Amino acid sequence: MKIFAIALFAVTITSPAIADEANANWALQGTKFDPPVLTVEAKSSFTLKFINNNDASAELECKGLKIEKPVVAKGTILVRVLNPKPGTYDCVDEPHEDEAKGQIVIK
Amino acid sequence: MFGTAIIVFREVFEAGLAIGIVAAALGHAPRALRYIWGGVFAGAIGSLVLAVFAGTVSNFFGGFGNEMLTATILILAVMMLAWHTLWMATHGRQMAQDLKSVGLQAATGSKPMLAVATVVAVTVLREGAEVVLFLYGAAAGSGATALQSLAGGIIGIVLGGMVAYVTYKGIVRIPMRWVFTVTTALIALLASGMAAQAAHFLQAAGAATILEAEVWDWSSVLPETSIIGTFLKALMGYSDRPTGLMLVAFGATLILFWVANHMARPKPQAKPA
Repeated sequence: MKIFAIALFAVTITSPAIADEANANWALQGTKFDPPVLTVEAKSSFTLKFINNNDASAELECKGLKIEKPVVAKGTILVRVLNPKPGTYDCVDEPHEDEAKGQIVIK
Repeated sequence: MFGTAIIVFREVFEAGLAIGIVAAALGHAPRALRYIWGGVFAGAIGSLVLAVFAGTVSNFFGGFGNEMLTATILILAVMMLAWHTLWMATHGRQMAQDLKSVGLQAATGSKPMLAVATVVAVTVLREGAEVVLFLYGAAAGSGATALQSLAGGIIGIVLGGMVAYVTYKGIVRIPMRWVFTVTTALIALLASGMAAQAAHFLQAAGAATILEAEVWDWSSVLPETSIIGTFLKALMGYSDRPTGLMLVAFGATLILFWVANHMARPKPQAKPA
């Protein structure tokens, strides 16, 4: 379909240029975040690499940072956060938000 | 259970509102509902397939496959809506002459209906894959919790579906002579919001790195997670902290739809009932 090709082309020509920029690493093991509190330097943007070590899919959600991204079992995702403001942000694995909690501190 | 219901409802609400608007705008055409339900069904199947391949998709584009796929889907939906609007605007003139304004939508051909079905399908796909993955993740817990999560998921899907229905019924109750104007405006807002969100996802993937600065911060006044914020996000891509590129994408799309409608739209000939 012509119009789909145009849409795909429009996206492809702007393929991510900074995918290797990950400057923060975080992992989920069971209901524990590792480290429990992740500290990130305040810049105009940062890229977070998040590893789900569980056998079930998870969803990283940090409301104040506009992070909401699913990750499959044993999968890894990258999340790029724009314009983070200094502060402490609560994060959860959304399907298990009552138990699986962590924090990101922007300094 | 209620937590799961609320989370799933939020995803289904976003798709449901958009589908309600599209269905209300075009539901009068013969076979329209068949195309709309076909779109819902195709989107639901696509969501299951996408959830199965979620790990693979996410590894594309250097780890930003999800964002790039969502951006592609949104751009495709905007293009389909634009094409449909242009088609209706250019063909509407002769249809209005032949059928009077009331019959305008009744003569819509199958090609624009395919565009509508595509918009519905990609809208369901966009939110659906996330719902499937979420429910899968929630259901992987212990037995009772898993059942509660699934029950919550079903409640969320049903409530979201009701939003689509209420939106549809609400719009079709608008007097006929206003329906075209209202639905045209709603579809232009919907498309502009999708364009803004596409810009957001391209920036989130690092594919677009211009105009990244935040233009304003309304997160304490009207957070996008509030009820009104969620509604505005679903309707017109509202963001409480938009970047410059998001606003440019929104404004440019809105202007394009406005120009397209005013260039080719038939002059209103409706007489008071």
